[in-house]
Amino acid sequence: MIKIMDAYKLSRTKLRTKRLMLAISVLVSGLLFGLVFAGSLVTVGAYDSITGFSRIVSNGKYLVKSEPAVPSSVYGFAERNPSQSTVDILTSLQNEYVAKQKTNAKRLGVTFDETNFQKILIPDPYAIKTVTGSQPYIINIKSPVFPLYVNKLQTDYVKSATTKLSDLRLLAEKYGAIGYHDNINAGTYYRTLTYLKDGKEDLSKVGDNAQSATGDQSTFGVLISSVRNSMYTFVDNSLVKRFLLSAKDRKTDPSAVPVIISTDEAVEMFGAKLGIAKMPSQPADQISWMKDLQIKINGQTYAACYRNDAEINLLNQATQTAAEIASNKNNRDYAKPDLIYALPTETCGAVTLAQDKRSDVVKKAEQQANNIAKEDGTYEAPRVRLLKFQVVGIMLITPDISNVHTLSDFTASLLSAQYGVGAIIPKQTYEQIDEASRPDDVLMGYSPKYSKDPMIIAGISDHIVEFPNIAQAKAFMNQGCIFAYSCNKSFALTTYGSNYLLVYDLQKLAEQIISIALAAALSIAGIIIFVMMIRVIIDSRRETAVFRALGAKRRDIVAIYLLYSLNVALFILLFSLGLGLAVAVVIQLTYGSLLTDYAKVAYGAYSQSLRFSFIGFDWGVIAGLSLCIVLLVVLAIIPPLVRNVRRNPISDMREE
Amino acid sequence: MNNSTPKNAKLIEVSGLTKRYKIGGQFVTVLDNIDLSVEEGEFLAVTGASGSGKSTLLHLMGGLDIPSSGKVSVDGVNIGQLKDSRLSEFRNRTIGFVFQFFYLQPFLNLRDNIAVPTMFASNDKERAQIVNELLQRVGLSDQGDKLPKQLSGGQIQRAAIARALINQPKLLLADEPTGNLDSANGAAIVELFKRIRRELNTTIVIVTHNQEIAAQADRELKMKDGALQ
Repeated sequence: MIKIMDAYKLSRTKLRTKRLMLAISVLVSGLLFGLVFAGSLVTVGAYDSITGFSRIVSNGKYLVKSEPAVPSSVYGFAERNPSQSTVDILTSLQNEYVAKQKTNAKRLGVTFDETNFQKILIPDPYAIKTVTGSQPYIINIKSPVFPLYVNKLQTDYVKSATTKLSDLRLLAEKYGAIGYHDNINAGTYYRTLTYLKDGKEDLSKVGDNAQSATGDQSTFGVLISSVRNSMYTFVDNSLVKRFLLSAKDRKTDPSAVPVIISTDEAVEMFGAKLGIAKMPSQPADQISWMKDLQIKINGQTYAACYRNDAEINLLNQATQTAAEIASNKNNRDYAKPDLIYALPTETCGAVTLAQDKRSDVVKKAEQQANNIAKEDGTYEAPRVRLLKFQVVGIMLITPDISNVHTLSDFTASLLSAQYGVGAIIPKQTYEQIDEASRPDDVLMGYSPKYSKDPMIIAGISDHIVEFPNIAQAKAFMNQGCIFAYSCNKSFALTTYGSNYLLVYDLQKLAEQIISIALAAALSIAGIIIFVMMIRVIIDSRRETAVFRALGAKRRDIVAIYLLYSLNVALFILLFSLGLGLAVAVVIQLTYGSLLTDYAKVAYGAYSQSLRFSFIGFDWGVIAGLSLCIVLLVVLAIIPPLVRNVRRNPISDMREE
Repeated sequence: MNNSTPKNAKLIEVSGLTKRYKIGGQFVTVLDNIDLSVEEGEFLAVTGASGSGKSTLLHLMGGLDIPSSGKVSVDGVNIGQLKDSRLSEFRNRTIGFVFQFFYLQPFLNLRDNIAVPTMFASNDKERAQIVNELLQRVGLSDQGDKLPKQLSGGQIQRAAIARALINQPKLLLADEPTGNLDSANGAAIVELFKRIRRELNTTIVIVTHNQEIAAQADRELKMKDGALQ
């Protein structure tokens, strides 16, 4: 058998024949494989960069938001024409309620008038009587029995529910969950908590007259007007620390509720006052803009006024009475009502009693009604509270990915923070403010600590679950639905904190595309190389015959041409690797800096020395691709080579 | 050279050698029942017109082609019975070929070209020294680093002869070795063959249609229509 170095020496002479064909084959194949290499380098680089940013800002954890998928029937909304069993339950609850009211009334020396209370079942003239089992009633949600019914439904549901925190833990632990966080909605909104623009209150837009500040009804629109809509969420500091202003430099007001707001809302609320223009479009400018915003907004506060339903009722009465009196200003026959409430004269002041000329009997009846309500725990005293908030952090919220129009939008969305809320109260910072200033009564109504809701007490509420890697988080999310309202599983599970799953899926998609591109490259390059090899082998018939005459065995010939094919494979490999790297470098030089800025802004990693790189090496992929190229070239030469060594050498010489 | 074969022993024995080719659905007999023998150290010329079968006879003697019937023995070995691999080895060690069109590797220098048969023998022992000796023997000692294209036709053929000799074969088969040379170079090549035969006792069978060359051989076999005359 010929020695390897001798075979190599002879094989190299082949590279000097058919040079143009060899050059074209190497060029075309190298181009195709180069693009595949480039695709791999860029994809791996981008994915590593995004996950690198994501890891830094989330301490290497991947977060999943869990919402319990509670059937809507548990809230008492499902049945229009309830079944007989529901009717029986409602009737029983109503009887209990009436009996209790009568007992309380008797003890307080008053009469409970059964005919004047809102019954739980109202006859439904449109009921379809042919539906088996349905009863011709509508459940009256204004009835005082309705809350009792809902409470019963929820208490019963809790007994067999699989949506509790304990169930969530059981499921999440199977997939390697490493931590859990509460995600407590403050439960306020623009009707009960009014954002006071410039610290002033417009009473014509308070309570029932309040309107959403959201011009845009999209998710994005809602998210960037959370403060003005008074929608707050308590989140553990560890999940949002990247948005918090540096604790060292932060001006703190121990009487103010700390809050992280969106950049859009920061401009809306403080732009004019602090001289902050809208966020620039260029990411490089955005970083300096963001740093400037962080400095300027440090210590800024705003106020909001809380009024409970009882106070809003008084406010409505006061407003209506004032309007009535104003409209009858010139009407001499007009008699003012006996009871007049005065609108507050100070910002977030309480409604006051201006006049009460009602008879003692009426006053006493009202007093007795209140007493009965207090007895059964349904009494709510009017309550007003001025809340002070202090901005302690800024976060960039970008449009939802389905809403993007440009590549910049897409990139920004891909890299954006995904918290599903636009105003975050960092829980631990909140707990550090003065206890007296802490408006738990207003903001913590949905926390297990303060709520009387059986669902919340049982831990049937939103939670955040931590995972150490994307694969585990994804596997866990596969056990849930996307939306809680149409879910036949226990939980709706979605990404939280960043768009890592989208990035992961995009990476998988890119892998698929690269696989297809590789298959295409292998096919096209395979044909080209195969044709080239056939030509080279045919043109080498005489040479093979001469070698055979000089004593070459068939396997010597095979060794020479296999080494030749390996040489060709090496050329293609080096060319495609070089080309792939060059393409990746060009993309890096063109977009690397831009994407670094995007990512820094999106992830709030302004001071990090992280870079977004489009050059990433997955050595497994590179080795696999290299092997593919080598195998392709070697396989391409085998059929013509086998045919060639089987030929009678002398016939090839004779043909010459 | 090889001293194991007694002087005047038969190096080649051909008996009943017939070769037919199928051309256009019909068999054509190129060689018809040839019997001949060649002694060791003999310089034999095979002549005849084109198509007379002389090259085919040479190829069959070198084991490059398979007889339709009959037997070819070289150095006591019936080469028709050797398997392909053994036949290659035999050819490599026992037979040297010289072709009309030289067939040197265009991108190898003369040294490497001459060394090619040793590569197939997996033998690189003293290769450089042997190549130098051969270059000297064929009068190309200062041309070893040149590529074939830098040499004249006569020089190339001398290099091809050196290549044929590198494994010290007992038999040198030359197919029209001067057919592509001018008369001066052709004469020089014949002189080289004679010198080789004289110095190395190599048996030489040369196919030619040049009667001047044939006249310088020990013996001339004339062929016509696939048969010896």
